[in-house]
Amino acid sequence: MTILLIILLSSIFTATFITLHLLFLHFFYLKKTIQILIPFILSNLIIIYFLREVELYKLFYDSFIINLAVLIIYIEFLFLIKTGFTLSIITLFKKKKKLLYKELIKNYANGKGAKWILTDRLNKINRLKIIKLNKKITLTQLGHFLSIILIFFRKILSIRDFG
Amino acid sequence: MYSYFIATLFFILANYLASILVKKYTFEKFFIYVVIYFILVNFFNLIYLQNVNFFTFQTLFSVAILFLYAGLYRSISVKIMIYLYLGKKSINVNNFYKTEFKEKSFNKRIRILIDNGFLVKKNKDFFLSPRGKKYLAIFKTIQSIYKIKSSG
Repeated sequence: MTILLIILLSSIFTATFITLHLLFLHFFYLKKTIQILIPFILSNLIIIYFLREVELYKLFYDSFIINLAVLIIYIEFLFLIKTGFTLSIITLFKKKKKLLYKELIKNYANGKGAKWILTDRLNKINRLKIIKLNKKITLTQLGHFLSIILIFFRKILSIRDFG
Repeated sequence: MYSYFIATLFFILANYLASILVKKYTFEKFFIYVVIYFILVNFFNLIYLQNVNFFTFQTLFSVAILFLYAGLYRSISVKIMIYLYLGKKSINVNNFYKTEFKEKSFNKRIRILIDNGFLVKKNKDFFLSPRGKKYLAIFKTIQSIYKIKSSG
């Protein structure tokens, strides 16, 4: 019964959070992280406000952890629809019904081309000082350290291939 | 406290076994494994432990591990870093694009889309299958709701 109540609280949170996020997205011009963080904090505060005089208040701490999980899922979903590699290939067919392989490469990411996705990611990790990027790519010391951690996690999760 | 440790250890060991026993252990199969693990562990919790904190921990753990796995399995940045660490100390951008990215990432995704029935290849042309068209309509709606003009 307690678990069901926690799920109920988190469901109310989810509905409030998504509604607020969409409202912020369409009516306020803020940074993307702020557009997500403010609705997340507000939705939790709304839940606390309405629960303060009810017995359910005790369950908020457990519900908050589920809310964090909801936030992770939501961010992952937003990443997927924005930067999803496979999804982007499907959206190439918005304008044309049939495409040649060369056109798939050329028109990828709204005409930026398939190479753009590689240079975009390279520039991002270059800015984070993980790699040095000239004509050649080399790992920095931070890059070496992070690579070891990534390999360690891949071993723990038994990941052998790339998707 | 022991239950948290044992459950996590069980998760890692069972996942290792699944990765050996299941052919082509992809993210989709890992996702199914996490869902089955989550249901079983909470079924056990509901009957024996009846611990609410354990339930919330497992929820956060399962979601976080899916997030981590997706990044480690699919991320292009992770692929570049591991390739440089394990393989060559430095590589030319164009060579990396041709040998690693275009062939092993881009073409692989196209093959996956064809295998899963989203894309159809006739002669040299690629078409969306009826299933692909259905998904494209859904993506278009979601992208317009979230004001996403281009993805990639």
